[in-house]
Amino acid sequence: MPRHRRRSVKGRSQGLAVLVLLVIVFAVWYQGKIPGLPKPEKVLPAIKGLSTYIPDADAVRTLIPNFGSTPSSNSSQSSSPAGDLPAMSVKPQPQGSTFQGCPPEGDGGDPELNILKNRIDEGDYVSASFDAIAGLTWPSSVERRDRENWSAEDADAIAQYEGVPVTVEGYLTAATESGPESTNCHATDNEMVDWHVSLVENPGEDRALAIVTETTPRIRANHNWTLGQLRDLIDSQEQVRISGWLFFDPEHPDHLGKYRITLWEVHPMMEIEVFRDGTWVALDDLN
Amino acid sequence: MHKGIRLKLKVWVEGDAEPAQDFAAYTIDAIQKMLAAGRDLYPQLQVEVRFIEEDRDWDDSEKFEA
Repeated sequence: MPRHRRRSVKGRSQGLAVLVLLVIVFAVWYQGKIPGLPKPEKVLPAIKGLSTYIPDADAVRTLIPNFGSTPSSNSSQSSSPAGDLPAMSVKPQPQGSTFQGCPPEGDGGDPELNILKNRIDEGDYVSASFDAIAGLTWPSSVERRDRENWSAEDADAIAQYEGVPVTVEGYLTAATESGPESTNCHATDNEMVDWHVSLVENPGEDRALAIVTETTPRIRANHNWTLGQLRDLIDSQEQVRISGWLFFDPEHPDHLGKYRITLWEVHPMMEIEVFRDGTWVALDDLN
Repeated sequence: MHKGIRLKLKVWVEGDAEPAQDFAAYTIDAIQKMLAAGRDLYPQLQVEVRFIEEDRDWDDSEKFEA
C-alpha cells in the first residue's frame, strides 16, 4: 500500500478512536460520574435555555435522550420525565431560616411539609408547561396525611418531582391571603401569612382549573410585591411567568375542582414576571 | 326521655405566644380544660369530647377573621 494511503487510513482510525473516546467521556459525565466537572443537571438546563437559538435542536434531542432535562441515573426509583418536567435524581436540599422568631419547621403540624414551604434557596429553574404540572399524579393514600405517616413507596412517588425548580407561564385568576397555619407559627399579621395565587393556562379561566402558587413571608421580605399588584394582574390578564419550587400539598383534596386542578403547587414562588411590551419584566421592577 | 346529640364546633382561638411554641397543642389543651371546667354548670349532662384537632383546611374563598 502506498505510504500516503497508509497515512490516510491511519489518520481516519485515529479520528474514529478520538470520536469514540469523546462519546464515552460524554456518557460518563452525563451520568454525573466525573467529579470536579459541573454536573449535568447544572449545565443542561442552561443549554436548554439556549436551544431555541440552535437550529435542529430537535435533532440533538433525538440523539441525546432527555436533552435539556436532567439525567435520571443514580436513582432507586423509576423516574422518568413527565411532559417537559425533568426527572431529577438529585435535588437541592431546602435551605431555611428563622424568620420573625419562627423556625423553618414552624410551630407544629407537619414539620417536613413546613420545611419545604419555608425554603429560601434559589434554584436553576427549568421551564415547564402548565399541562406538565397540572398532569402530575399522586397516590390518594397521601392525602390529608403527614409525611411521617406516608409509606416509602408513596414518599418515593412524590419525591420524583417534588423539589424541582420550575418556571411556568400563565394568567392569574385569584390572589388571597391564607389563614394562620403552623408553617408560619400561626401568626395572623398580613406579612406573616402565605398568599395563595391561582395560575391558569388561558386568560379568564376559572380557579377550578388553576395551579396554586404561593408566596411566603420569608420570600416576600426580599420583594415589594403587594396583593393589589397581583389583583391588578388578574384584572389586566397580562401573561405572567412564575418561578419557584415544585411542591406537593396533601392537605386540600376537597379543593380539587373548586379552587385548584391539582394538589401540586409552585411553593414557594421565588420570582414573578410579567410579559409587557414584548419582554419579561420582574414584578418588582413594575413599581 | 334520655337523649343524645353529636355537636360540631368551630372555634377560633387567638392570643400571644412564643413563635416556636406549638400553638395547636397549647390551644387544644386549653379548650379541653375550659370544657371540663364548665361541666359543673350542667351536672345533668354527660359531655364527652371525642376529638379536637386543628382545622388546616382553609377555604380559599373565606377571609379569616381575627
